[in-house]
Amino acid sequence: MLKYTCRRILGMIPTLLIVVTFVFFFVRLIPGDPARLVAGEQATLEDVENVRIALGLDQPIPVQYAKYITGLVKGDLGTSLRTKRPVTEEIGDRYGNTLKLTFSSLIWSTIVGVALGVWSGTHRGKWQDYSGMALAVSGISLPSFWVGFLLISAFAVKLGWFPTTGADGISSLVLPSITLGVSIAAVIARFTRSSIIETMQEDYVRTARAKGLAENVVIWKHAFRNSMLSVVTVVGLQFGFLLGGAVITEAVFAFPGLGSLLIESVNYRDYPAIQSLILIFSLQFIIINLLVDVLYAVLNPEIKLK
Amino acid sequence: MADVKDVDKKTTTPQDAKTPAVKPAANPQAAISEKEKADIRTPMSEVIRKFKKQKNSVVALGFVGLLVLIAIIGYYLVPYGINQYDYSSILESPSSKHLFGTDEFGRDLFSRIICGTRISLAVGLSAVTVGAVCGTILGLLSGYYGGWIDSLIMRICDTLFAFPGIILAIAIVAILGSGLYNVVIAVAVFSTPTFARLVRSRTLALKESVFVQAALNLGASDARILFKHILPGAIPEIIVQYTMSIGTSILTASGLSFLGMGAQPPTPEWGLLLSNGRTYLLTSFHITLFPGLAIFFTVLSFNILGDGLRDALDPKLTD
Amino acid sequence: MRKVIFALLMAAALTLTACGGGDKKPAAPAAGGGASVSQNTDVKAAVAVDFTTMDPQDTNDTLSGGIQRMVMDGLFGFDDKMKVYPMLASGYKANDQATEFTITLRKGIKFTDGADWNADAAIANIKKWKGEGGIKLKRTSFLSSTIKTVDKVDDYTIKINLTKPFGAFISNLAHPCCVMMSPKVIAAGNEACAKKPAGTGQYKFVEWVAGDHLKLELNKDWWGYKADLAGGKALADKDAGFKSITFKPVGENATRVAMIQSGDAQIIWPVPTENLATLKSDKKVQVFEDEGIVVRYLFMNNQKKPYSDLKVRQAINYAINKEAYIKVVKNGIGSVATSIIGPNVQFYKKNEAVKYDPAKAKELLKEAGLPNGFTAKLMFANTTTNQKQAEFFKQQLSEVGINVDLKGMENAVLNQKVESVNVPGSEAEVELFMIGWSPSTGDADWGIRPLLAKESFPPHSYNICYFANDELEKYIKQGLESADVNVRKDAYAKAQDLIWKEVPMIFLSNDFNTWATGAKVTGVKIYPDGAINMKNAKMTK
Repeated sequence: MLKYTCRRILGMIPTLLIVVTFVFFFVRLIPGDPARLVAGEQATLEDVENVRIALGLDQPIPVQYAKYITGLVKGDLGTSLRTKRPVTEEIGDRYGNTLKLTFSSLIWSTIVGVALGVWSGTHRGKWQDYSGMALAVSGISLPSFWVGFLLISAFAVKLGWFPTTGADGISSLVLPSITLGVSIAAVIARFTRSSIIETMQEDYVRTARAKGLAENVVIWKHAFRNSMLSVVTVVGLQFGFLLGGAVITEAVFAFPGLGSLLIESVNYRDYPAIQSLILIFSLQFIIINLLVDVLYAVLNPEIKLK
Repeated sequence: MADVKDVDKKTTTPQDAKTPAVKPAANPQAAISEKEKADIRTPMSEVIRKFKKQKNSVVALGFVGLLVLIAIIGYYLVPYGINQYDYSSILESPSSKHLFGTDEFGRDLFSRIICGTRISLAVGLSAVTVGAVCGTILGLLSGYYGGWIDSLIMRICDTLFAFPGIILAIAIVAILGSGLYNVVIAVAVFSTPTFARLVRSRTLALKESVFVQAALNLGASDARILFKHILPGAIPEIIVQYTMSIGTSILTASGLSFLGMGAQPPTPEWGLLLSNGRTYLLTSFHITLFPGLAIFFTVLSFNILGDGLRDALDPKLTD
Repeated sequence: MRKVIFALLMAAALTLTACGGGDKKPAAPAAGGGASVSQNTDVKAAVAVDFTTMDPQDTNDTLSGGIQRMVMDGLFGFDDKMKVYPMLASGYKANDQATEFTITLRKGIKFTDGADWNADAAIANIKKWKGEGGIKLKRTSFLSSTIKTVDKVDDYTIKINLTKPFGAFISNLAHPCCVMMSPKVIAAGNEACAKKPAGTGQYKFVEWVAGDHLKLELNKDWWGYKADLAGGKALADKDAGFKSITFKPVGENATRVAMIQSGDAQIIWPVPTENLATLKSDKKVQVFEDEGIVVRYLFMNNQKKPYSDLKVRQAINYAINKEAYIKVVKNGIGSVATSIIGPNVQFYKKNEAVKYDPAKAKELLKEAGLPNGFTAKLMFANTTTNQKQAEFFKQQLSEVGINVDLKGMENAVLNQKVESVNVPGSEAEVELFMIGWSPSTGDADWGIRPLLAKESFPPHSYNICYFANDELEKYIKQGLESADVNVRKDAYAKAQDLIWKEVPMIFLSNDFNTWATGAKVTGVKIYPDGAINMKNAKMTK
């Protein structure tokens, strides 16, 4: 197991290098001059050129590339062109928020999604199934920004129960995580349902029933256990996406997370920030995939990690 | 769009080719009586029969049909022009004169939403079609030839797949510029991997089937095998995925317009209408409510339709 | 199944308990004490964006500049109506050619970090403006090429020698980027200037946590409270000011509005015009609006056909209903523009806005050889406000046969295509362009030269109209090269008349600043340039 993990981690490095290099050149393709954007309104040409020198953008591209890569090796993600702060600080400020939002969304949506999926799947064809799946299919059809607005309008403004934006404290997590969680719960529910339906048809379930075990036990101790693998896959996938920044939800709630940082950085052509953010996203995704694979092996000893 | 991806388990598991349930005729050359004709169940009629049994799928199909109709003739039937402004009726609540109220220029929201149907459907359908075609071709090549082609294509797909769709779409729009054409391209790009993976799985499975082996032995060309033997076997799954992807693509397109990167004013695209709604959230809620409902019901009907098709096409689901 | 229900209940319980997070109310005033009620009260203000830096020479946003002005004073400053008045300077004398300015400084003033205010301190700042030390900041070009040398005449007098005549020099010294930083901080380096400023101002800088909040506390020893130090008249009432002010950036308009309504914040600005009505009806809130110095324009590329024809420009002017613009785009908050600069700007001269007359517009177009109108391209950054403006123009111009093609794009791309290009006007891509301009020195020069002088063609500055008129150049030069107020007034009057006649752009409206405070707060204002003005702000009981 350890050897496998180490090998996977080492394998990440060339991939990440490719990603970083690709992004480095890719962002410079996008039209737009960061020096002018940073110099801002009422800037004269001289101001813009001053800013360009101050930001190191007048250096030839290979030099900028070398600087960035050597910085990466030392753990320096570059300096934001927009705020002049180290990118590590910018990301650090927001990472906690994104983690909090991710976990809070994932936890409740996994619980609700699994519960709904099992409930529907074990009552296949009956009213429970129809209503459960009606909820789920609605969940994946809702535009998240609309849901966000509805929630803000009802709960934050009209009722004043929660803050409309920001990230101070738990109460400001509630509305965004509900917004995000709705479609995740729906996806998990649908997935769990089809998985449960399949496993319920397996022989060992029939055996368990024949042994006289209570239906509950049959469902949870036997059928669901074996569905867990699929559920874990799906949850892991969603986790990866969430950490990549729930861009639209963050925009609606003015939630200071990684997604909105990416958008702001793109708007300002903040090359170091964009490069480092994409790098972080890829790294996260790779790590999560690794964790999911390892979790597979733990859950099902039959699976051998190659 | 949803910030998440709806992944269909069945698309990631290779399935064995299933032989369709056909009543064998004792002597295919013998005349078939009327009654026997009525009893013959072709794969197609099975699918249709199973589909018809699901009431909600039928309703969804009807709704989709209605949407298409609206998209085609809506422009000619709406009470007001989409750009017909009237500064004396700004931000009015829904009334008998204006079913959904008016916006900040006094334009009738109902008319604008109806006309937006054409845009959303066009964007959704074209984006997914392009993605499906590209993905199918890539999947066929990948699964059939294997080797380095397979590795290359799958690596690219994995990278594309890893990116949250919205980030990818934003990157593409950032380079190409905003506007609906580029949104279509962006959405097509990020739907391609899903189709590629799906078709690749089917190809891998079908490659080993009897038909294909026979055709190979007979010396059929690769192209012939791919298009006459393998592709038809993948079509059912492609159709299901196609329908499901339309929903996602409409959500993504409206999400991009919401972020200011998609449709530009005065296009009455639903996402753009919603982004206006944000300014008036506290004062004129109808501007937020109705475009959102439009998106919701459209995407919902495509998704229900997709579910219905999947269940109807699934040979394992018997009555 | 039971397990599931239990888990769900737990989750629900957890979520509910978490929602107790109460709103923070301001600290109750301390009992008794020598200072006033107000000066014992902590106050919270919600602003629209985050601060960028505390170094005035590196600032180009009004918000940061406004806060810097609370912490640091300049040689000169703006009063409530944008009139220049001496602050740390007690007076000045200029030579006829406007190339030498001798400035006398006030005595008996200290920076909050202990440094003395005197000629050495002033010179340290001026050297920084010139970019000595090789550091180039966003505002370095503001005065670095204008100032040749600065001499110390005595401990409280300096003489600044300019490289060329510059009549608007004193107004420039009143610009927020020229406030005086403590020489100790300057000596400590750029980081210190950006993060830990110290000045002679009414407030002391306490801390700034980027993205979260910025805090100031009252400087009870401020010289502005003492009439004898301030040249005879105190700058603020003895009991004005708050014990501390915490500024929180809150981007979402609806939230800021909610904060002032709930009492979570005592001051907010700006108030989005859509929410003004809601706040006005709230008894716990006071709402204010006042004319600012930002003027809104629709630029036309004067070197491209058909805009090169005066008749076409006039036609567009008649075709756009300025009152409707204010009503529809600005939600009724604004006043019709009556010059290229706003009424609060020095040397403003009033002209008559043309009346909305689409029939006349069509006639003019016919005379110009365009009876069927033409297609125009309008490029803009795709913010919601811009989109609204753009749609408005499209609607208005369609009434006279001009079909406007709306091209919204990302700000960065727009910059690339418009502000950064370096080609003659006839080859530039831009045709119609929307912009608002704020002459931040409060002087007519900065409201005219960057927009219409030949030296200001892109990429140098903002003459996106590509307007080139020798007579105007003459007037601009006259205004610039004299320090005599009457000479300048005359030059700018002629300039404004010419501009009004030539219609290089459509003059739309003057923006109003909007702000709101809790019912118990008085004296909070906004300077016409949009910066916060809390000099005489008080919290009543």
